[in-house]
Amino acid sequence: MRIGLQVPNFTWPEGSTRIPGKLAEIARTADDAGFYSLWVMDHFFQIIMVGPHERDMLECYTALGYLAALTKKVKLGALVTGVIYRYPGILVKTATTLDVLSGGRSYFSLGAAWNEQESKGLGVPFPSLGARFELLEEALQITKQMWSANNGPYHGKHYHLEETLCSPQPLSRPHPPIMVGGSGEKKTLRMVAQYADACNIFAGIAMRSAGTTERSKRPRSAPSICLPARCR
Amino acid sequence: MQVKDVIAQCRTLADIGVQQAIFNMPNVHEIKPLEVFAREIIPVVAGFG
Repeated sequence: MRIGLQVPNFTWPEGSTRIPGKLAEIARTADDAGFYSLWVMDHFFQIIMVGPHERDMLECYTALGYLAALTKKVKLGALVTGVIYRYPGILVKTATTLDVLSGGRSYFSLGAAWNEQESKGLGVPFPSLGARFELLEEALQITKQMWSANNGPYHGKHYHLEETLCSPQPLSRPHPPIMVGGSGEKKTLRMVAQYADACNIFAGIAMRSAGTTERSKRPRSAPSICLPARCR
Repeated sequence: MQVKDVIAQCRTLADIGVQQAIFNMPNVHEIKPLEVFAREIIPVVAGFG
């Protein structure tokens, strides 16, 4: 089993002026310690499960670029990117840049998003859950197309791209592992099976749904990823 | 969680097919938890699954 590390919080005793140095220390230590992956959340406000929303939160792809420059072995990813935050074509360019600049050490993650407070707070449209799932599926299709030889147009219900060019392509082959966040049986796990290489689920759910993943016909090679618990 | 609890949970997850466990560490800034993982957990669970 591989072990990953998520950094969920940037409010440390030394204060925000020490964030760069402390984050660098964490990243270098994790890299040397043998952690397989290093993750930050893709949120703009701190989430309620971790602390008050006013607490420090870094924009994740900027943070991941910083981590890429500091590390040599550990894989890097966002846990997980909300589909509504960025136009999918721009998101794929952002994720590809992370993969290229990290030397092929990135994961690509995507989920339907849930944090309405930060979306409303920053003026990001927050459509219905059903619409967000439609956006998620179209974004996954766009991602796969941009990471293929097909530079042609994409026309979905929500997104229309005239030329799905992504140059350079990722260094990871065939592309960075795609992870879909969530564990819903009807929609999410079906998308995992259809488009992804991994799913992100919580430990308790993983144990309860061991049979569910079998029913979803998830590829047997797909690594399941979960968050077991806090550790001291 | 203690080290033995983490290892036990990793064993359980590996047995149901989970290939990677990502730990959310609120006290990661203390650095010591990372050193404990490096020394006592990562080498042990590498053989699971």
